[in-house]
Amino acid sequence: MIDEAQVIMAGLDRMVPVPSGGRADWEEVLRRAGVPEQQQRRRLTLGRALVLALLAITIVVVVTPVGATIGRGLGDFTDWLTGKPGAPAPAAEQQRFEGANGHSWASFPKGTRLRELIDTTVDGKRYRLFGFRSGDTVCLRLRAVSLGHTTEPACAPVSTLAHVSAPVLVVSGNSGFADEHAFPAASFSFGIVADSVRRVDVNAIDGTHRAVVGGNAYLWVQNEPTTGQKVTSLLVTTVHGHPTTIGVRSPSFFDLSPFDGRLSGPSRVTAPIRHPTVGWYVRRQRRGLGVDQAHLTVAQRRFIHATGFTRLVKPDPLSDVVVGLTRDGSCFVVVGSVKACWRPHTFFSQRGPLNVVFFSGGPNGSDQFTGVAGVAADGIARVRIFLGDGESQTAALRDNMFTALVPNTGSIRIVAYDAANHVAGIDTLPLGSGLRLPKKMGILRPVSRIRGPNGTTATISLGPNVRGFRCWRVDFSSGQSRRACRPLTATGGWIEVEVAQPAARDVFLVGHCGEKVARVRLVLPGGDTVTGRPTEGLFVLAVPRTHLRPERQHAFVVGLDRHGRRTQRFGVLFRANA
Amino acid sequence: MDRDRLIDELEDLYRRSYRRFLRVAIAVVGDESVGHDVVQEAFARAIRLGASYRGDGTVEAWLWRVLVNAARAARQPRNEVVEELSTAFADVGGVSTDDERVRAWVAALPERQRLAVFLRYYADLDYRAIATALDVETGTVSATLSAAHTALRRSLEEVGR
Repeated sequence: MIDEAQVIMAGLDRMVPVPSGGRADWEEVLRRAGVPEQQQRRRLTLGRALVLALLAITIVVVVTPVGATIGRGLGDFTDWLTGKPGAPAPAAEQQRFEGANGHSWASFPKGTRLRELIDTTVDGKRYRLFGFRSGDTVCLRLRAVSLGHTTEPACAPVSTLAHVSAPVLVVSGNSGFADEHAFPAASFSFGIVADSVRRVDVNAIDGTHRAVVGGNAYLWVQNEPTTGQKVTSLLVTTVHGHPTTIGVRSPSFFDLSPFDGRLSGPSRVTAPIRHPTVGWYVRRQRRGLGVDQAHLTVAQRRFIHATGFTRLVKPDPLSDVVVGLTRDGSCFVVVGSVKACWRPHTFFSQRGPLNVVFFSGGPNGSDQFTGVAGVAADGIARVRIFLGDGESQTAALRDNMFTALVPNTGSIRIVAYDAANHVAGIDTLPLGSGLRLPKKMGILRPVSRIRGPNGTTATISLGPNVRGFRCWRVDFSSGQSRRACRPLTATGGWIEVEVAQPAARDVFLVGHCGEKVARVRLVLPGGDTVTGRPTEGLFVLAVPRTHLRPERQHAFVVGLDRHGRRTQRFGVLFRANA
Repeated sequence: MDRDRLIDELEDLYRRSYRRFLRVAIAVVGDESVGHDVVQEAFARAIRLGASYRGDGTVEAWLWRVLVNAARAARQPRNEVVEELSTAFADVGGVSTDDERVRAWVAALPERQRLAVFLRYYADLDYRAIATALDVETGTVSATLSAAHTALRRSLEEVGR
């Protein structure tokens, strides 16, 4: 029996995918309707209040799937969508921004207006958060005035902002600046908030901290952070006092989580391209720009390391992403970020009419979004990306090269359509390391307990080895709990500390080591040491009382083999709660 | 309902459901940009026509009717768009996938059935709301969708043989 409702829904979904709400513009509706301007302004103020009230009602249910659906479209990010959050940046900052952009074609176009969102001082150090919208992208950049650092723009697609169901969109979840000794000088987290947001608290490894909220953004900075410090979630409170918790994704190799989302989009190729190629490149036609024509920095040129016939293209002219084919077509490059090479003249190998790379860093300063770029064969008219959260977005495509920015939602399905809208190619790819946990990881059982000098205990629980993965959890008697799952493939004498965890009046160091490490020694300033044994590659050490101070301290954790020989050491920074 | 309250409701509806309206508009006119224009125009028209809202159904159902009319109006003078749309739906010689069969089925439906399908599946409206939007009786919607389903079932079963 055929379930025609299901067939209809699937077919109709692909015929007209759920569109982005990025163009929604209520003010324009009012103008079209001939509502006088004065009345419009009054209406907009009232309308916003109405939206806020609805948001408040919705926030309590956004954690449920139904709530998420209801919540969509209620996020009041109008200021961001119109490119006018906060206030215009001071002329000097605008000039600095334009100066940086003017150095390279791989940057945002001239005339992009910078907005100042937050200007704050943390423990005597000044931080300024700026933002802007360029085309289909909204971006933030943090300037650490006292430290002399500025981040690359961390961006999110407007389509994500348009359909986000929560009142906050995290753009940079966990990033930091280093000092001249390569020690972490500051940790920070920032993002975009709706008008209704009154307060944002960040839940970090060492406790809860209040973030600064302003200019439709939030910013949290901690100077001199400790090892493994990170934001795990946000507690967002609206003007109506309704709290909601928003998880912060950590795209760390070891923070694996099973992907249980369902990717929508077509699953069958209906119009395959038999011999995919890039005709203009093969014929050496000069599309895009040559390296000499493209205005690039020295570092960017060095990164491309162009040899042979090289052409660079900016698929989205309003973004800062420049891609290209180089080395006579054997390499695809995202300027400033990533280069992928293959056998000469085999643009597509066995993968069909798409060749895809992911990128972060360079033009993508966000840890919450992944850059997707690639080559599409002749005959591909459109590239659409279906995301793990059920949404989809269209990639910018020009001269056979495409780019997009997508949320880190586990996996994506990239679909290439021909001019007749038939599916010519599909690539389903995991984001990040590509490692996926088995769905059932077994029960975690307590294996050991460590007591700190002030009486706090840390109980270590381990799960079974399931297809090369093991999960662990450390529960502290003071209420905190850390857990993760990791692959068991790494061997040898390596050692690393994952987190320095303050727990009540104690501090514990939680880390991993290879199978050759029989004992772990913490070497403290002044020569004091603490030694412990790892259990199945996991160790927990308690910092002795004499070193429990509120100032940040630097120590080493050393791995020792069964003969007592040092295998490796790992620097660690920790401090006790004041 | 006074004008201010009506505009409040429309604004709420717009902010909550812009994408649903846009999706149906795109389905009817075959172009995202024109679809957006249709949605904007439908809401603006609803504000202008506020007095014609009788208040005997929901504002949303009435608005859907305004939108369907706006979409049909946007499509009708543009013969090339209609042709393009029909071609896109009908160009399925050697039908081989369910998607293509659905396209062909949609293309072959009479307009009212097609609109009912769009409102049912893209807008997730119930029969009563669809009836208001299409200005027909609820029973007619039921019969219309039933006929549309029968046509598709036949098409799928033929291929399945």
